[in-house]
Amino acid sequence: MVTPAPPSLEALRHGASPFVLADHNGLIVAINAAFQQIYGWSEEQLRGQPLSVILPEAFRMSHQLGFSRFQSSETSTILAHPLRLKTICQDGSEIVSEHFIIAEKQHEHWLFGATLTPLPQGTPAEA
Amino acid sequence: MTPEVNEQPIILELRCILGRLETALSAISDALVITDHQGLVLWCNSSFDRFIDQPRMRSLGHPILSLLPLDHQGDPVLAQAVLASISQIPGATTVLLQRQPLKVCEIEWRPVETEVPTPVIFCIRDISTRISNQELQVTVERIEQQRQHSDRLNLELQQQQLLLANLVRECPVTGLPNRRGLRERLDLALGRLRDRGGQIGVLFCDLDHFKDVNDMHGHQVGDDLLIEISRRLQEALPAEATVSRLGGDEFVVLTGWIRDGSEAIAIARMLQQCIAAPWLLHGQRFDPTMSVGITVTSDPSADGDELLRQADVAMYHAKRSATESLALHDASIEAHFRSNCRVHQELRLAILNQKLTLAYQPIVSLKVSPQDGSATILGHEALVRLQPEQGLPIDSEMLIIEAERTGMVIELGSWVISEALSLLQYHPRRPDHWSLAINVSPLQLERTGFAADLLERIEAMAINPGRLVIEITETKILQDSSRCIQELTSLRHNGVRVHLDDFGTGYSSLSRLARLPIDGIKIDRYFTAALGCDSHLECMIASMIHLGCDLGLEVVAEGIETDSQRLALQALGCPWGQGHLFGRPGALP
Repeated sequence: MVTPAPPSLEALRHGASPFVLADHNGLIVAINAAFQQIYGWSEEQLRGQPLSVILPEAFRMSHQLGFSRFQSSETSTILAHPLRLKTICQDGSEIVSEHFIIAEKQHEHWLFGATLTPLPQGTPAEA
Repeated sequence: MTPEVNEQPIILELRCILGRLETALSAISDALVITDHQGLVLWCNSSFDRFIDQPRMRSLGHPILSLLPLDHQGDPVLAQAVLASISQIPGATTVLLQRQPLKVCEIEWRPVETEVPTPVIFCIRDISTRISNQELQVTVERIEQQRQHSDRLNLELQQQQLLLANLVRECPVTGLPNRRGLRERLDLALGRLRDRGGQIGVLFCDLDHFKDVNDMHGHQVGDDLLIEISRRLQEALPAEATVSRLGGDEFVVLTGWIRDGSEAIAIARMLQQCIAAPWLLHGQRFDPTMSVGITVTSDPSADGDELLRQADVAMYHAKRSATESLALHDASIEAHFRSNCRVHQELRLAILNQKLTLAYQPIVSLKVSPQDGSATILGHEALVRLQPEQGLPIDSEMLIIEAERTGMVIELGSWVISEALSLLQYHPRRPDHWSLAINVSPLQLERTGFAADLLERIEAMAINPGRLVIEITETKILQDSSRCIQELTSLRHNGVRVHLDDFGTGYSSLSRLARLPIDGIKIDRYFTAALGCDSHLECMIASMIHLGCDLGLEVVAEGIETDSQRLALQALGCPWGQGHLFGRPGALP
């Protein structure tokens, strides 16, 4: 069986799903309109913020350590896999959503893009 | 907020360091978990994922207590009270998770006091292996104790079996008294001698060819025959006599009071006749015979075992006798037995210590040289000699008989062949007609590959095979056997000559003689000794010489000791001769 190649950042960015783009430091550089609409954040509010601001408190440490590991080894166990996680909205509420993260190296720097598709209410995170 | 440009490399470096630390912590075998002050999981390593058997994303943000397995009794591994104080007080606990297979873990926690609220680091260690080793030791000790107990029981059982066996006095097959029963009866009979005087006899009876019955018809038929023999013996026994079975085909009759040895012999003959009646089983006819050794004693202090030994020795003497199937033990039989024992022992030591020698007796042409009247030596016969370090020389004939009887003739014969081949290899400058004769036992010929081995050695040593003569006794070659014939035929086809030894003593038919794979005959000394004494035997020797010559065989007369014998043989046309007249066995000239 041949595993299909993950979609490109450009494809995700211009897709219909909520999308967030981060630079090699893990700082948000862009979000799309769908993301703004569902989670309430404006691009101005998030640009330059660490990705962990849209993650629940309990995930932040693991996220940072995992991000650091990718920077030291360029290997990750979570890229290109659908992950059921919670996303923090601008109003502080949490929405269970499917995160699909990919990484692309552009001009010697890694860029990270993720779609955060909200799941029906009542779906447990990573259940 | 984007960091200042000059901080970027530091941030990257710190991130790399963090990444390496995270990788290292994930690689260790102990499960590590960092929780917040309430016990909610903030990070864990791969070992923890494996320990709880679920992916990390499911652990993050969940209470550690809900993730840890329950103990073997189904209770939480950490009590609520403990959990309430984990951010203040370090602690540790050992938890038995399951018994079979054993799974035990050690949980240790420690608050990270540099932060408020205080996170907690948990370290969970699987110590099942350590516990298992201890458990294993306990199990090993338990098994060892069980083994010792089992050994004790086995020993007790063996002792009980021994005690029971000592109580058994009867043979299970025939119902006759066994060896122990016999000893009791023997002691009783010796005791009666003390009171009444007189003599008693011990008759050691051994069925002839019983092994053949077992081999050909099976052990059940063998047992049936033993039962029949025991019945016949019991029916024929005189009053006061008893019969016991020692084992195998050996029966011992203990006579009652008898006058002398002749009465014991009479009883033995009567028993031999009684058991000799044909016995029919499943359409098969058996004609049982037995050899009997007898000893008698009037000495009430005689040792029972010694009496049995004497009767046994006499029985073997009878079994080896060509004319008599019973023997009464006496000094000459005992001397013969001891002599055989000595020969056996000396032969064994001589083979072991390489103390054997070969002596060579000439075989000559009986046609006297017209120039000087001397006899031409045509060859020599190699004869084994054993000179013990102490005592008298061993008689050569006894040596061979004992070697044949004990099977040592195989080693002995092998040594003779090696010596003979070495001699032929290192003494090639002999006249063309000269040959060396060696005696070969049928036991050697019956071994697979005898001829092939010998021919291979002859070829490897570059020996002329025509120089070697194999002598085999007439009796043996007639008793056997297709294998003997095959081996001899193979030797002859490759140039080795074969002579039939002791010719005239084996009752061979003349028609058979013509078909045997032989090159010559050696007329037995018995006939040579009769020359000038026995006209009938003279006729026979003349016939043998003419027959051999007519068949184109080499004819050698053995045992020529006098000139008159030589002249008589010359007159009869015997071409070759051997005997003391021409030279005793000795060193090769």
